[in-house]
This record gives sequence, C-alpha cells and structure tokens, in this order.
Amino acid sequence: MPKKSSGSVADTNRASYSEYEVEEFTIDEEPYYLPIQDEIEVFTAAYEQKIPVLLKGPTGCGKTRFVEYMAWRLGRPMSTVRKGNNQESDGEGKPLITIASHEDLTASDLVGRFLLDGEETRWVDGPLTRAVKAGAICYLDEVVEARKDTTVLIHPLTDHRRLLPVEKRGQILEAADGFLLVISYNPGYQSALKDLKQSTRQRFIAMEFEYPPREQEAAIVHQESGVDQNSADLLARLAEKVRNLKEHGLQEGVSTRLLIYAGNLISKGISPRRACEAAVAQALSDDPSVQRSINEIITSIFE
Amino acid sequence: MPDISKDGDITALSKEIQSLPVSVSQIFSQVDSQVQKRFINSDNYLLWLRNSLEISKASFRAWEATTEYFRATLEVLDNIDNQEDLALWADGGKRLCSTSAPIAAAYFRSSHIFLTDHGMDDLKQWINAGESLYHGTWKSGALATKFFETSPSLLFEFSMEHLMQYVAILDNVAEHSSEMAEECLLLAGESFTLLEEESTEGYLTLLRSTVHNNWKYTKDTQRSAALALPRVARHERARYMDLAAKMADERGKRYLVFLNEGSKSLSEVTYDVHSKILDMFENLYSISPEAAVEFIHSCPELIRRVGSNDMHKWYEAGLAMLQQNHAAGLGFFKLESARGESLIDQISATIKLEDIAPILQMYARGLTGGDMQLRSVTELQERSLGWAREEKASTDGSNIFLPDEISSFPTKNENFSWFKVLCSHQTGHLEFMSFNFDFKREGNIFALRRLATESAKLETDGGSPTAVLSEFERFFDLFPQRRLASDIYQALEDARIDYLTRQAYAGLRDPYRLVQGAATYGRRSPQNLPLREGLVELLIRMTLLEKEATIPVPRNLRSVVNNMAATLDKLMDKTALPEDTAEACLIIYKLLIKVPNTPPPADMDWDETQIGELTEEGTSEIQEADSASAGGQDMVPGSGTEDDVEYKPAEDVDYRGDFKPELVQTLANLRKGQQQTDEMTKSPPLTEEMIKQLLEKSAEIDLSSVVDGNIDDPSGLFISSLMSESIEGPDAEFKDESGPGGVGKEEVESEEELMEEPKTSLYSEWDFVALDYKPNWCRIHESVITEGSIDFYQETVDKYAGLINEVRRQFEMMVPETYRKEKRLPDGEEFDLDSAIEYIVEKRAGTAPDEKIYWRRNKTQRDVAVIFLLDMSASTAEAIDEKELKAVNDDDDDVPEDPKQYLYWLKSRREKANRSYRRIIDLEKESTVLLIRALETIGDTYGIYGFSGYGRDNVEFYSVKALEEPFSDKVQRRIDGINPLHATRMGPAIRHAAEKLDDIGAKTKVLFLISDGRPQDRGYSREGAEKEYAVQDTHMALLETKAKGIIPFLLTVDRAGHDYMKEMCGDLPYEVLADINLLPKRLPQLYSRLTL
Ligand SMILES: Nc1ncnc2c1ncn2[C@@H]1O[C@H](COP(=O)(O)OP(=O)(O)OP(=O)(O)O)[C@@H](O)[C@H]1O
Ligand SMILES: [Mg+2]
Repeated sequence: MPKKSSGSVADTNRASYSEYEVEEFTIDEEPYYLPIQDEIEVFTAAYEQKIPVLLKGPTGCGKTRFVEYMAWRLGRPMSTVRKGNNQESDGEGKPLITIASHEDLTASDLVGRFLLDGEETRWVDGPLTRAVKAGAICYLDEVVEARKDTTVLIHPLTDHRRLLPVEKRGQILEAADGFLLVISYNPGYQSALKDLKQSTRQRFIAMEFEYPPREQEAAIVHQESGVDQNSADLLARLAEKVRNLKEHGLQEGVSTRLLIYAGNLISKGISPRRACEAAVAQALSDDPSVQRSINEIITSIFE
Repeated sequence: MPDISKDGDITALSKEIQSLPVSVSQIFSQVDSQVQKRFINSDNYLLWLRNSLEISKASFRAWEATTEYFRATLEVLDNIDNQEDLALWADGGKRLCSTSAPIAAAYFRSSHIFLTDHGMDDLKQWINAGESLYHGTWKSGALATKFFETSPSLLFEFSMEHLMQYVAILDNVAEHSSEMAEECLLLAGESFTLLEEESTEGYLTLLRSTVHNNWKYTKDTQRSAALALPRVARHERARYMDLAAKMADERGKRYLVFLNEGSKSLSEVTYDVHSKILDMFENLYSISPEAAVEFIHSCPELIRRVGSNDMHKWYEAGLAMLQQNHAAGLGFFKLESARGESLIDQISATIKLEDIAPILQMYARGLTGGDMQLRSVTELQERSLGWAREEKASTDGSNIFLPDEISSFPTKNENFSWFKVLCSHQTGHLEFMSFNFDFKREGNIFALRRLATESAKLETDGGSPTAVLSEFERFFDLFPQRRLASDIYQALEDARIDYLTRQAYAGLRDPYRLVQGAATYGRRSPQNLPLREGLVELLIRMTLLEKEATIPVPRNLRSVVNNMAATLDKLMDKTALPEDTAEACLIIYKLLIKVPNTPPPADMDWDETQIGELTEEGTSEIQEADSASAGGQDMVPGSGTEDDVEYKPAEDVDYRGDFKPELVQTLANLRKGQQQTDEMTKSPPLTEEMIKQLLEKSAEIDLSSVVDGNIDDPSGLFISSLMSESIEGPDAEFKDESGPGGVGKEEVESEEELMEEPKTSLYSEWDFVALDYKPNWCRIHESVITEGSIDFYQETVDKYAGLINEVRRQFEMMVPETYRKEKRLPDGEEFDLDSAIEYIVEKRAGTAPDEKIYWRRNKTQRDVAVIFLLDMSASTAEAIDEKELKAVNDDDDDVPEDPKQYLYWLKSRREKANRSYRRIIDLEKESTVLLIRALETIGDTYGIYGFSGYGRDNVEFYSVKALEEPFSDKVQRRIDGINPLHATRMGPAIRHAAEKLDDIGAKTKVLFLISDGRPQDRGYSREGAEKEYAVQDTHMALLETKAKGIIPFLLTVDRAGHDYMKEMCGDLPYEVLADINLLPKRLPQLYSRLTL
C-alpha cells in the first residue's frame, strides 16, 4: 500500500523542502492491480518515451489504481530515478504526486508561491514543480475541473520541451528525467461546459479505461473486498446487467468501486440483497422506478 | 318654477305626518329633506307623502309599516325612478298592511334588496307569494313575515320561478305545521347556495315528494340535502337529487339514508368515480333498492381495496349473485360474504401490466443488454402474423409481449413474481440466444448429426436442397412430422432456458418453483391422450417438475421414457446451446416417431415413477446405437403406426408462452434484407412462393388467427403483413404515440429544395446516412406569438413569490461573483496578496518593486446574451402527473361545515376545477416567468422563443420576446399565449435561434433549449432510421451552434431522455430533469451556472 512520506522527493540542497504538506507518495508495496488489456505495456512505452498520458474512463474503473501501480512498477527497475539520499524513502516505487483538480485550482497552486516567514519571504514549490524537479509521475485527476489557465501551464511541459516556467521566480525548470504528466478525464461527465481543448488534448496519448470484463472484475472484487468468490461472481454479473441500463435511465453504470463496497458489506454479514440495494440501487439513482428495476435485477441474481 | 297649490298640499300633508306617533314622525323628519331633493317632480313627492298617510291608516299598528316605508324610501329610490313604479311599490305595502302591519313592515324592510336585482313584474309576484303564505292566523303571518325577510337573499341563488315553487312547498308544509315551515325557510339559504341550475328541479321535486309522503321529514330532508350536495361531484348533483326524489316517492326513510350515508360514501372517494358509482347504484336500485343502498355504503372500502378501475368486476359478480339469491346478494353488497371477500382479495391482488411495465422493461433491458420494448400481447395479436392465439407471453427478438394482467395467485407479491418469471423466461430466450441457432454449428454437448440427417433425407427423397428463409426452417425441414418436432423442440428449448435462467439467477429459483409447480395443474392427463401425444406431455412435465416428483409411465414404453429423461438431463448443462437443443430434439423425435399415436389400450399398465429414477435408468441404458443409422427411415413413422390418429399439438405451458423461433429468425432475416447465404441456399430472393411454403409447412403459424374473420385468403393477409414487417421493421406496426400534427406516412417528401419566400428563412438539414446536408430543406416561419391574458404572469409571480425572491437573491449574489477579478492594478479594492508579497520581497531584495499590487472586480465584464427556446409540441399538453390530476379532485377531506366558509371553499374549488390539471407547457410557461424576473435583475440580454410546426415546409418559430426587445406588458401577455401545437423539428429551430445570437455582439452567448421529448416531425426521418435521423440532425445543429461560439444547452423534462440525449448532445452539456416539477427551480440554477 502507498505510504505517506514527507520530503521524499526533496531536493536536498534546500532544507525547507522538508515541510511539504501536500500528500505525496512513494509506492513501496506493490499495489494490487489486475491488468485488463495491454495497458501496462502501453504506459511503460509511453513513460520510456516521455510521452504524457491521458486516461479516460468512467468513475471508479481503476484509473487511479493503475497509476499507483505503474508508479510502483516503474520505480522498481529504474534505480537511477530513486532518491537514494532520502532516508525515509526506502521504498522502491517511483514517486507519485496526485493532484485532485477542482474549480479553484490555479496556476500558483500547481507551481508554488512565496510565503512570508518571519521577516523573510520564502518560496515554496507547488506539487507540479516538485514533481518536475524530482522526476516523479504527476497525476492530475479530473483535469477538466481545473481552471483554464492551469491547462495552459502544462502545455510547455507536455511537448518536446518539457519545461515548466516558474514565472514568479523568473525561472524555467526543465523536467527531470523520470517526470511524467498523467491526467485523467471522464468524457461521460456532463457537468462540464468545460471541454478539454484540442491543443491540450493533442499533447497526450490517450488510454481508454472501461469497467473490467466480468471474470476479471469478479477477481478484483474478491481480492479487494474479501468477499467470497461466489458472491464476487454474482456482483460482477450484477454489474454487467446494471451497466446495460446506462442511458436507459441511468446516467452511469455501476463502478467497480461500488461493487467493492457491496462486497465489503457482504463480508461484514449484511445480506447480499440488502448490500446491493444500498451500494448499487440506492447509490446509483434517486428515481424510485429506476431503483425498483435495479432491485428486481438484484433479487433475481441474489437469493 | 314652484307650484303654489302643490306647495300648499305639501305643507298640509307634512303637517299631518308630523302628527303621527312620535316614532313615525321622527323618521319622517330624518328622511324628508333628502327624499324631497331626490324628487325632481313635486307630484312624485306629493304622491309619496300621500302614500305614507294611507299606509299609516291601513290597519291597526300600521305605524310600524309606515316607519319602514320611510326608512326604505331612499334606498328604493336608487332603483325606482318613475311615478308608476313608486306607486306600485307603495301600493303593495299598503295592501299587505291592510292585512298585517308586521308583514308590510318586513316587506318594506326587504324590498330595496329585492329591487336591486329584480324588476316590477317580479315584485308583484313576490308580494303575491308572501301574501299566499298568510292565512289570517298569527302563525301564518309570522311565516309570511319571515318570507319577506329572508327571500331576497335566497334569490341570489334562485330564480323567481323556483322561488315560487318553493313557496308553494312551504305553504303545503304550513298546512301541517307553520313552525316546521318557518324552520324550513330558515334552513333554505343553506341548501339554496349549493344548488345549480340543473340540480334545482330535482331538489324541489325531492321536497315536494317529501311533503307529499312524509311531510314531517321536510326539514330533515332539506338539511340532509344541504349536507349531501357538496359531497357529490358537481356534474352528478342533479342526478343525485333526482334519485333521492324518486326514492322519496316510495315512502319510507330510505331516501334519507341515501342522502346522508350515500353522500358520505361519495365524499370518501374521488369525484371522478361518482358517475360510475351512481350508474351502478341506479342499475342496482331497479333490481333491489335495499342492495343498492348497501352497495353505496360499501363503496369507499371497496375502492380502497380493489381500486376504482376494478370495482365493476366485483359489482357484476354481486349482481349475478343477487339475481340468483337475494339474501346472498345482499350480504355480498354489505361486504358480509365470504365469496365477496375472496373476490375482493383476488381483484386486489391482480397485477396489471401497465403498472409494472416501466419497471419490467428496464429489468429486461438490464438482463438482455438490448433495447427491449415491453408491450402488451394484444398488440402482437393485432399484427396479423398468426402469432399469438391467446394471452401468451412471447418475444420477437426486440419486443417482449406480456399479458395485460395476472391474477392467478392470491397475493400481489405472488402475481408479481409470476410476471417476473414470465418476463425472465422471455429475456432468457434472448440472453441465452434461442434465436441464434446455426444449422451447421456444433453444440457443446451433443454430437452434430443434423448435417448427416439432412444428406440422408435428401438422398431418400431424391430432392435437391431448397432455398430457406431461416436456419430453423432448414432444421425443421428435416422432420416429416413437423408439428411433433416443433413441440419437442419447444419443450426442450424452454427447458434449457429455464435451466440456465435458474442457474444464473439464484434469486429466481423460488418464484420459478412456485410458477413451475402451478404450471402442471390442469394439464391434460397423459393417460387420456393418444400414445405419442401422451409421451410429449410426459416430456413437458419432466421439464417442469423436480427430480423427486413422479409421473405416470406406460410400462411397455418405459425405455422410451427413460431415454427422453436421460436426453433431457444431458441437455440441462451450463454450456448447452440451441444447437444442443436441436440435437436432443432429433434424438427424441426419433424415439417418439416410432410410437404409434393411437389411444392407449385400456389394459395398459402405468407406473408412477420418480423422474430422477427414469433419468438414472435412461443414462445407463443409453446406447449411441441410433447414431449409426442416420438414414431417413428413422425419421418416419414405424410399423404399427398405420392406425394413427392425427397428431395434435401439445398444450402450451402458460408461463413459457409462445415460442416461435422459426418466425423470429425469418422476420429478422427479412429485415436484414438478406436471405440465407451459404453453399446450400445461395441468396434466394424473397418470393411470395417461399413465404407461402413457409406458411404451409411451419408449425408455428396459426392461420386461424391470421384471418381474423376473413377466411378467403388467409395466406394473402399473412404475406402482406410479413412483407410489411420486413420492410418497415417491427416498430412500424407499433406506432409510438408520437404523432403530433399527424406524422403521416402518406405524404412523400419530395427531394426538391424549397423556394425562397418573404419573411421566412431556409435552413439545411443534416442527413447522417448520406453524410451530407440536404440544402435549403426546412422553412422557418417566424411570427410574434398571439397574446393571451395578462393574468397568467401575475398569478405566477404570486404563486412563486417565495421562489422568485430566492432566485433573485441568488442572481444578485451571482452578479458580483461573476465580475472578474482584475489583478495588478495601481489601485483597487484590496491588496492582491501575491503581488503584495512580491512587492515586499523585491523591495527587501533592493530592486524596484512593481507598484501595481491591488485588485478590483471589474464591473463591465458581464456581457451575456441568451435565447430560450421552448418546445411547443403537442405533447406538452400532457398532464404532468396522473397523481396530480387526482389530487385536484381529491382534497375534499375537510369540507367546511360552516356555510360561509363552505361557499369560500366552493369558490376556490371551482376555480381549481376549471384548470383541472397542469400540463408540461404550464410549467414551461411558469418557469419562463421566473426566469424573466431573474434576468431582469442582472440585466442580461435575452430572447424567448417557442417553436413547433408540421413538416419541413412549416417550421413555426414564435417570438415571445425578441432578443433586444425590452420587457413589457405585451411580453407578459405573450407568455400566456404559449400553447401546445404540433410537432418538434428541433434542427431548424436551433439553427434559426443560433443565427439570431450570431447577429449580436456579446461575450457569452447561450442557446437554452427546453424540450419534453425527442425531436420528431413528419418526414424528419429516414427509412430504417426513424428516430436516429432526427437525433442526428439535432446533434449537428447543436454542433453548428457551438461552432458559432454559442453555448448550446439542452434541458429535457422527458425522463426517458437518457436514451437519446447522450447521442443528441455528445459532449455538449445537457440535463435530464428527473422531476418536471423541479423545472421552475432548476432553470434559473442552470442558467446561472452556464453563464458564470
Ligand atoms: N484492474 C484493477 N485491478 C485492481 N483493482 C481495480 C482494478 N480496477 C478497479 N479496481 C478497484 O476499483 C477501485 C476504484 O478504482 P479507482 O479509484 O482507481 O477508480 P478511478 O478510475 O480513479 O475513478 P475516479 O475517476 O472516480 O477517480 C480501486 O480502489 C480498486 O480497488
Ligand atoms: Mg480516481
């Protein structure tokens, strides 16, 4: 599991860097990830070629988990990237910095800002800057949620230049070797009047994530929730049926994440029907007739 | 010029009046000068004076009347202006006074009220009426006095004529008891206010009968009627009174029970069922008045339990019982009969398809992953395809047909389970691919013998392969006894589906057990059938029963039965395919064809044997011997079958319904437009000949149901139905309730472009099949919408006062928010923290700092123009909600007892009833009002337009408020003019609106479309892609809009919208509103979000 460690990617020349408060991880233990297709190969190749990656796909289908897994995996054989001089980071993973985008995420939030420190002023790197310096994988989640100006910021970073302008300090940083920008985007969301600009889009290779096929999903649910294999199979079957309802009354199919929740409830002794009602039918819709339909599917599948 | 002699008279008369008793003269002095002023003509004044004196002398105590005379004068003068009428008025009083001064006094007191509404003719009648009540006695005098006092107010509700009738009734009552008459009169006001033109006659008749038959009840009757009237639906009040009158004629107090209890019953149910109940009541009354009264008494409970739609079932059963046995029937209607109870339970446990169709449709879509439609099986019968004979569930691959209702079980849950099993069995056919049969493909369990059997058959017959319409046709062609093969195949395939369904859906196992168990009841006994048919029946039972159950097995055919059991058991496998069913069918067919179809000999031995035992024996016995002999001989009846009776098809299993694999595949193939293509049957063109052949040989088509009365040439009808199905697709027959403005097929769209015309605009339309625009394809006619009433706007503002305030506050807050922060200014509202720090840092570092460290919100930033485009299609006339429809009629729980409050209540009710229910368009309109209030707050440029139309040449585009037109009364009135019209051709309307926005300069432009369903219009489609075409054109129009730098936004109140909105909008924003009632609230929210 990821381990929180402060200052793991610190540039040792600057002591102040040890005061980071933004979460960042070095993935020490192998995260559980079940490959679905050739995504590992594609991502690895992209990483080696320093090509930024865009992950598309519905919520809870494993994008974040995949990036975590890749950070661990890529960190392993590439000892050169490892920050050997950092005592705390004895993990073998690649540093991974995850940033959840939101409407107020500004360029300064990503790049860094000056802080007053007594009589002094002190510059603090933002997460993106840190990733650039440390050669980490930077995962920008739900990038369309961020302010437009932030997307412009990543433009020079994501073409051949790999540069991050730190305007306020009059610097331009060249990304360290291992740096890779990964962004995610859910095209199904219609919250957005926001659309990814073509000029941004076309700087990334895109990988489409779908919910895993039935058998793999069952294995994931079984593994992650600890529910028995049979229930996991049935949950995966339920997912398949419920996903058929996407755009027939449901905006989005049920996520692997929700299935795992259902599995969690079941392994805590909640009856499968009840668990699914809570984790699937109720979670997905507020429309009573839709809920009822889903419940009918649930009661057909589960005894 | 003053007339001296008259002056003299006046002085004399005045003097005389002054000498009357003090109470009189005082009043006189009070009014005299004013009265004098009112008379322009001194003759009239003189007359007035003279009359007063005459009245004062008319009788003993006449001064009482005289006082009132003086008092009333001024007010009466408001309505009387000539001498003649004045004389009439005074003379009437004079006459009355000569009989009784108090009566005359009452007359004068009330006359001015009377005269405000009535003329002199009525006055005479009125006086006569009052007079007629007086019979010289003190009591009758009191009644007459009361009459004059109260009747003017009664007349607000009553016509003069009805009042006269009522007086006659009163007079009758008074013959018996003046007190009663007086009390009645006092009560009259209460009921009169409730009477309408239509119910008055009945009410009066009721009173007349009462007086005639039981005068003592008159007051009670009046009171009961007053109580009953408001409880009865307005349109039934007249009938209710008539019924009561009729009952009153028959003496007894039953009619009072009817008035009191009956109306109470009615008040407990909704107005919309009153007619129905009274129909039944009337009918029943003619048979048994007693039962009728019990019936109406039981109605509320009955409706509560079975619902008003089904009460007739109960009623009819009760009627039948009543006619057989009066006492039993009476108990039934009293709800005191066991049979009645069980009937109610049964009716109330009934599940109707219409109630659960949306749920099951979604369920079916989930299970199959297809775009299934759930339909009533009656629709299938109307297709003339010889498909369904009875109310049997079925599927044609894209539709699932289910019976209209199920009531076989005693509880709702069980009946629903049955529906669910029925539905799951049909979805099972799709999920487990019953129709994906491939003749040449090998199954997973049985060896492939079809091909060998086919070549053997061709060899024996010496024929050559013929063209076939489906894989199934080719398969069934193997069997000389097609009916038998079809029965076996259906039993086996149904069994496979049930097995797989039960495997995959553990939760269905219990309901399945219930349904399968019930399915064997009432089937024909195998012992009574010819042998071969008996064996088929045994096979069917084996597919339904558990292994522990027993079936009767003919001893000498034991091995055949064993074999069947074993084959069936082998087929029950998770991996079984339809091809395996086919092989199993082949095996069993060969077993059965050797058995003669003769009635079983009387001395035949039958052993009740467990199915499990049969299976075991069969499995060990099974020899693959028959595999060697793939010859044609074992496909035809063996020796000993010469005396066969004709094979009759097996009885269907209820819950499995009709399974028509051959027909389904044929239709699907025809629709695909391609026939079988393989080495055997090279792409034969579809000919009538082929269909005729299919028709003759297929076991699946029931010609008798094709004909539908027309016996002459059933095949002709079938062929044309089949042809049309294959051409138009399955939906062609099932017209979706689209058709606003008559989306007819008859008008063929010509391929010509339209010509330019004044005041219209032409737009191209996107054809997604051709991947090209149809140039100048649609014509927009733009006009200003007709104005409606201005009240609508005000009423809406009042109605939503709270929400309006809330929205306005929200908008006001939004304004400063949207003012962009402008940073790095030499001065402004506040320091910009970042710049300020920079400033300090740089200053400390010793460099020249940048002094622009302020920020300010810039007020000129907001620059928004928006067009709201409202869907005015016919479907917006739909009621928002059935429930709401009811609620309007339903809130009569607490009818106020107090008459005044009651009147107020009644008034508000009537107003409600006029509007009766709210439509989608009403909410659209209301939302528009709200939005206008909000928009006026923030000062955005906005236009409101509506659109509808019929056909591409008539796309109507209505302006409610043009983009740059200022808001005005006119606009308010136009909002009310928004009404449901015709169809919905969205594309051109969107293009036209976008054009308008394109013409003006604004930083942010928004096109906001509000619709209630998919786009559709006559010719807004393309063969084979009816709905798709309109969706695609709309999508394209939206993209064009976006390309113009306009933000398009689609809001639909169609809850089924998820189906097509995603496709129509693509990545563009939209919202499907789950509950239309949220529209007024949601719309401003969305707008503010969009334009931030
Ligand atoms: N292929 C997989 N292997 C292992 N676990 C998986 C896989 N796919 C999904 N999961 C499980 O599903 C859960 C949800 O996945 P995750 O959080 O990565 O979704 P996401 O795509 O990032 O969703 P969001 O877009 O909402 O952030 C994970 O916690 C993990 O347990
Ligand atoms: Mg995630």
